[in-house]
Amino acid sequence: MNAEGMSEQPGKEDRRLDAAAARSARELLPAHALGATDAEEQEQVRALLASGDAAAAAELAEYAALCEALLYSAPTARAPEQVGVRLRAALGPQAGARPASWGERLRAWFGAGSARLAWGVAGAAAALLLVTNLLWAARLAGERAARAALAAELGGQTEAVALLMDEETEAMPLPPMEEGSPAQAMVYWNPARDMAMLYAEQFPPLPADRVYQLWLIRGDERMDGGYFTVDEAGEGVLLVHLPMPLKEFDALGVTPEPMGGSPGPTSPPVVRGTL
Amino acid sequence: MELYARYGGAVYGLALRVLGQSGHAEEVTQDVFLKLWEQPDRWDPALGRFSSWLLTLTRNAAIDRLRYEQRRGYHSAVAPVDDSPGEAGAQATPFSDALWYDGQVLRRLLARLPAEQRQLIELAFFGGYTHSELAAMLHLPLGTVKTRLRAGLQKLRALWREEG
Repeated sequence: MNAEGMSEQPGKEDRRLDAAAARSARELLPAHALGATDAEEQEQVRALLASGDAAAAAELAEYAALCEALLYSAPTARAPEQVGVRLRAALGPQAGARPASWGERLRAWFGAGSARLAWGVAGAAAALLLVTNLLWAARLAGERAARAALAAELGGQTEAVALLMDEETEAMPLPPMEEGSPAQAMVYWNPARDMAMLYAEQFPPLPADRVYQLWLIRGDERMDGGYFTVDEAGEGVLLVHLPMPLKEFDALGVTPEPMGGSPGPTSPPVVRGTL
Repeated sequence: MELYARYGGAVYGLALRVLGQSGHAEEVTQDVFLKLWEQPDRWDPALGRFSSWLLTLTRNAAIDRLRYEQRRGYHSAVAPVDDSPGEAGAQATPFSDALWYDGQVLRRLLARLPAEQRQLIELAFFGGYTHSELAAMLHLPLGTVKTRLRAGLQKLRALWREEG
């Protein structure tokens, strides 16, 4: 969503656009509100708004409202318990309370009537802290970035390891559909978890603009299970968020699709397995 | 933790919608609330409704994470439209009723759009892709992407108006 969409106003300067440019820019308004315009297109929209086109501004505002409502269209979901646990641990014992500002803390120390003195002390302390903090900030920033990258790297792996180590986890093979093909995949899933892991082996390499897409099949319905690429050895891994227990599907299949995935399968499956 | 109790389900749900992967969605949820805690004055009423601001923050963080994962070679699709009302037991209406209602209506209306229009809207909104990125990703002419996306949004707006 384009944050500017809700606040853009026609500029004071009345810059006229020719009719074709105005029409072209007006056609971009819906996508601009959604945040889908490229840099050059954004300039066209800004020029249109700066020309004082009130109808365009009103139309953009309407699409911005629609895009704001789209934020609320994702189904709410109960976050796993560990998110709350980690947050409580990160926030420490004051997790239930808003952190006091320095002004509030100093007023508490010196009493409400001495706020001016408190702010004076705070100013001196802030100056001292600023010098010290600048030295530490440079060192900590590097370390923090490294830790964040490591945590992100480990996040997906932790989930996969937890799934694989769970004794309740079941494995389902997806055999090749083409006779003689070495491609095969295994899906690991656990009835107690809302995720599964697909491990692909010896899949044919794909051009850079193609991916493999997993389909969760139920009757005539093909639900998108996510997409993945394979390395030079034809191996790939996909962690799948399951919209419902896996046993409620009839079959799983994997097809080559354009980068970004397709709304429905467009190629014959490489592997397919029936549940 | 009051904010988490109230908005945690919505933030996690949106992150999950963008990322399609619960582990990544958990981390984004955690980061969003930690940032909120570290900088409680970040929200300014002039920026609009708090919940919209929080969800915009979440969407941006989730899209950043999606791009990061894609650079690493990990792919997860923008999940298909789910027209169910949300998980039972999750905070059903953490916002004002009107906002929540609008969101539910739009989810249902999105499912009524032609698949090729809906896909573009979802990839653009929940994936953060621009016209040219969508064209490259889907191997479609740029003009086709623009036309389909515009037509889809126009239809969605018309349907939304009809719903009142």
